[in-house]
Parts: sequence; structure tokens; C-alpha cells
Amino acid sequence: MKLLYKNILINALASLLIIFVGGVITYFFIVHKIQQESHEHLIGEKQVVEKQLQQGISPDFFKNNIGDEIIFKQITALSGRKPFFKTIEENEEYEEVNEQLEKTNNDVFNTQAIVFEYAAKDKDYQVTIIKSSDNDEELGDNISQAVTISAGLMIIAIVLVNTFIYKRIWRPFYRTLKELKNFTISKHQAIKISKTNTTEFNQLNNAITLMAEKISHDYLSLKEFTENASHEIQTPLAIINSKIEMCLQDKQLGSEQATLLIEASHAVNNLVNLNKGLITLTKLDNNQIDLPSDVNVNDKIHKRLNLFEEFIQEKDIDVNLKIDKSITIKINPALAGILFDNLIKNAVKHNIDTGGKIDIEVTKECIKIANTGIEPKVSTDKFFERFYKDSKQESLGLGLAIVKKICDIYGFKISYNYTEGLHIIILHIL
Amino acid sequence: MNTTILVVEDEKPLSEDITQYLTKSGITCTQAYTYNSAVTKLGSAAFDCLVIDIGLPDGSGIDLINYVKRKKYESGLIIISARNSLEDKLEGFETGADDFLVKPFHLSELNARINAFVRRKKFDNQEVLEFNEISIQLQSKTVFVNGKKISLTKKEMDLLIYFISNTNKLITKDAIAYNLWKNNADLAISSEIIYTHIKNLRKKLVENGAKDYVQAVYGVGYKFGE
Repeated sequence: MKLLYKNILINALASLLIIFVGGVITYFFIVHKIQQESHEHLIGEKQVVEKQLQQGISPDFFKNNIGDEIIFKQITALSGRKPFFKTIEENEEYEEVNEQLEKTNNDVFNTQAIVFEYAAKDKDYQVTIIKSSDNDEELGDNISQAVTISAGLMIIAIVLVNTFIYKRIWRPFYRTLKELKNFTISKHQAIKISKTNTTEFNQLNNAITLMAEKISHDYLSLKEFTENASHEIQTPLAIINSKIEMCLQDKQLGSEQATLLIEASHAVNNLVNLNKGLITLTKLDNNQIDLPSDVNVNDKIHKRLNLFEEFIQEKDIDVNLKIDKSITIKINPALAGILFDNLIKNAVKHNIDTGGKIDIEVTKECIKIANTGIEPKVSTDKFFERFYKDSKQESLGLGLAIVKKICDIYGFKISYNYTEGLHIIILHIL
Repeated sequence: MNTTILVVEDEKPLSEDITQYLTKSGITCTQAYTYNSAVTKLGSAAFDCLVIDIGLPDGSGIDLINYVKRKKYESGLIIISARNSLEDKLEGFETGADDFLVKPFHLSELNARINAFVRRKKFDNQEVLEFNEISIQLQSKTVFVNGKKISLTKKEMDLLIYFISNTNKLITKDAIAYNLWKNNADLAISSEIIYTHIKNLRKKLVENGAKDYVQAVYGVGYKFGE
């Protein structure tokens, strides 16, 4: 999910929650205020009623003249109870007003009433004044409407403001990201990011610049190490080789010893080739090769076939080509050389001793190289892994690992299978 | 006149072997283990050729090549390096090296390269390489046996030159493969092709009246000589 959308979503959800809680608080606050006001109003009414009763106005008269509902109840003796407020709910004992109450009594804004006792000259009354609540009725609706509208507006505002701010604030971040995407370690270039006015981004950029410098430095040390390691290994190997060669020159050397020395020399040669292969793989692993260009597949294949012609003739191999001459692939030319060298050399080397064949087919989609050869004895799943080798073959198995690595770099899929006496390697170049 | 060589190699055992092998082939060798001693030795004698290791304890072989070029010494320069990287090769040739040999190499190969270089340099390739009744005109690449011209393929010719450069030495199959096929030596080793070429060369030489100088040492290699 994009940061922008995530940001907006979280903000909107949080705002909704806040608006909801705020709405509830506002609501109860208003309810409380209204109640308070009603009470004040009722106290005023009470004073008016008491005053008028003092003046001797009959309770019957009140019934018709005041907006609020006044209920007189004759009582035999004063209870001495102080005036109190009451929330009129449905099914109250005031049967006379029940009908009216049902109309005015909405769920929340309960009608407020004051109940007090009054001793007139001859009679004692319990007086209940019920506040008319015509105005309060709509208030609840209004509040929830207001809350809903402001919530809607707020969410729209959040989306707009977030989008705007996001684009402004995060601009340096995207610049940094772009810079990072373009960073190629083998090019030895420092990351250059312009300063921003956001502290965190400056910190991030500084950290990235430092890290890139460190990586470049480590990379160079690694490269140096690889080269040094190769140097360090090659030199003793050279000494072993030259010692063997010197030994072989000894005229007193028996044929048995000579054979032993030759076997040792073969082992050293294998080690030398292995070391070379490993260095190549390390270089490829570190992506120390760049600069791809359009390489004509036909040219490369023909060049290799010419190089190996002598060996092809010697083994009497029949080469069949079905090549679309226009096919090019985007690859570093040196790597293309290594790639086709390994593939075609393999097809020659692991061919049957005489009278075999090599079929090469190049189309827009794939390069297919098939050669006759003995069936592999071991599982072919690991065919492209380092050090894979058929128990019978002398190859150290780095050739195909290098092929695979090069294919990986350029995103070519490679597959191997053995059918009807043919080793078939297919490179999907599309 | 004897060919004189300065071997600049810090690995003493290797330097020793190079010197021994080349001395047996009639080349006069002087050894230097460091950059500084190489400079000193260059000041006291002239050499036909320098065999230079790139990684020296007190400097780079490339620096030594630059020094030789600066001083305008006429010596040939053959780099022996453990580094097979293209950059090193390019740098070597740019500074003016004449040849580049990657370690480990066959001593017979180094010997052949030095001989080839000295022939090119000293005799402007006009030289005729001779071995008893066999002679090779290097520039025109023609071979004569007892004065009679015989025709050889390119590989047979290279093989013969390689043999004559390393007469009376036991040469392994690997060394021959490397000399003739370089990077594809492994293909040659795994096939019968070396045997085929040697068989054909022997046949052509013997049919044209030369003695059979090629001696196969079973399982090891070949020796060319009497």
C-alpha cells in the first residue's frame, strides 16, 4: 500500500473515532446544559406560581394561563419535603398529562419538572411544574446532523491536506529513493543528495551517503581481496608446477615416478582452472561487469564454432545450425563470449567419442543447443550448480555455473534436459 | 652470442626453477628478487630480455617496465603474473610489455616465448631455426629437411618450433596443449588431437628423410632430440 493511502486511511479512521467520541461528549454536555437551564427556568416558574398563589389566585386558573404544565395535587398534610427536580418519564403517576407527555417526551431530552409543596390558606398543595419542551425536541437531531456534517468535511479536508502535504514533504524522500535505485556499486560513484529542510530526511540522506561510502569501500576491499587471493593461490601453484616440470627433466627419473608426477600435475591444473573459474564467478557475483550492448548471436556462435572446428572435425561431429541471423541479445560482449564459449565447448567436450552431432537453433524466443552424449548418471536438477559433475567426467562443473550466473544477470531462463541421447540446453532470451 | 635474461621474481623457488630450466637451454640468467635489486642489476649489465613478475615486494612490475622504458633500455619485457585480469594485461601492454604469461605457466612455454622474442628482436625474424637436418625459415614459415622444402600445417609448424625451442626436454601433453591451443587446451587434452598432430608431423619429417627425433614418453609427454 502506498504511504499516501496508508497515511490518509489511518488519519481518516483516527478522525472518525475522535469525532465520534467528541460528538458523544458534546451531546452529554449539551444535555446537561439544557437540563440546568430547564431547572433555572422551573425555579423562576415556581416563584411566579408561589407569588400568584399568595395573591390568592385559584389553582384552577393557572391551568389555562401558563405555557408550562402545572399540576396541583391537594394533599392532606405537608410532608416538609424540600422542592426537588424530577425527570418525567413515561407511565408516571400524573395520569392527566400522560397523553401530552407521550407527545413531548423524546427519548433523550426527558421533560424536566419541579415538584414542591405549597400551603395555601385553606388547602395544602403539591405542585408540579412541567417545562414545556417544544424547543428541545429538535436539538438532538440538530446536534447529530452537525456532528455528521463536520465529520464528513473533516475527512475530505484530511484527504486533501494529506495529499498536498504528503507530496510536498515527501519529495526529498522520493529524490533519495531515485538516487538509491540508480546506485551501482561497480561504478564507484558517491551518492549525491541535495540538502532538504527536513531534519529527518537530512539524517537519512547522511546515513545513506555514509553507508554507500562504506559499501563502496568494502566492495573495493573485497575486490582487492579476491584478486589478492587469486594471486596468493596462483603463485604456489606456479611453484608446484615448475617443480614438477623440473623433476620431469631429470634423466634418472623412472617411468613410474614420471606417471606419479604427471598425475600430480593434472591435479594442479585442475586446481588452477578451478581457481580461474571461481574468480570469474566471484566477479559475476559482485556484478563487476556492466555495459551491455546488442550482441549478434549468430556471429558469436560462428566465432566459437570456428575456434573449436579442429576438435569438431577430430571427433567427427555433425553440426546442424538453424539460426535466425538477425537475433541479437542485450549483454556485455565479453560475457557473451564466455557464455557461448562455455556452452559450445561443453557440447564438443561432452560429446560422444566419434560421429556425434550438435544441433543449434536460435529463434526470437530461445537459443537451443543439443548435443549427443552419454546419459548423466546423477540427478540433473543440480546441473547448473557449482561443482556439479558427472562422476565420469573430469570437468569441475564450474562452466555451467558460470553460464547460469551470466543468464541470471541478464534475466535469461535456462533449462537442461536429456532426451533420446541428447543433452539439451535451452536459453530463453525473450 | 648467448641470450641474457634478468628474472625478476620474488618467489625464490620459482625464480630458481626458471633460471635452471633456461640455463639448461643455453640462456644466461641473472636473478633479482626485488624491484630495487632489478634496477641495480639493470645498471650494471645489458639484458636481451626481462622476465618480470607484477607483484614485487617493493614495487610493481609495471613500475619496472616504466623504468626500463624511461631509461630507454633495449630489453624485451615478458610479464609473468598471477593476475589473469584483462586490466592487468592491458596495463602491461600499454606500458610496453612484449608478452604476458599468466601463472602458473609451463617452463617450456616461457622458454619458447623468450626464444621467439629474441629471434624477432635480434634477427628481425630473418633467422633460420636449425636442428640438424631440419631448418625453419621463420618469416616465411617454411620448413626444409636436408634443403628440401616440406609442407606442414600451421599447427604442425607451431609444434615443430615448440619442440626445437625445447630440445632434449621432456614436454608434457599439457604444455603442448597450452602452447598450441591456449584457452582451449582443456579440449585438446581431453581429445586425441595432440597425438594426431604429432603423428602427422613425425610422418612428414621421416618421409622426407629426417631422423625421427620425437620420442613418446608413455603417459607423460614427448621429448624432441637425439
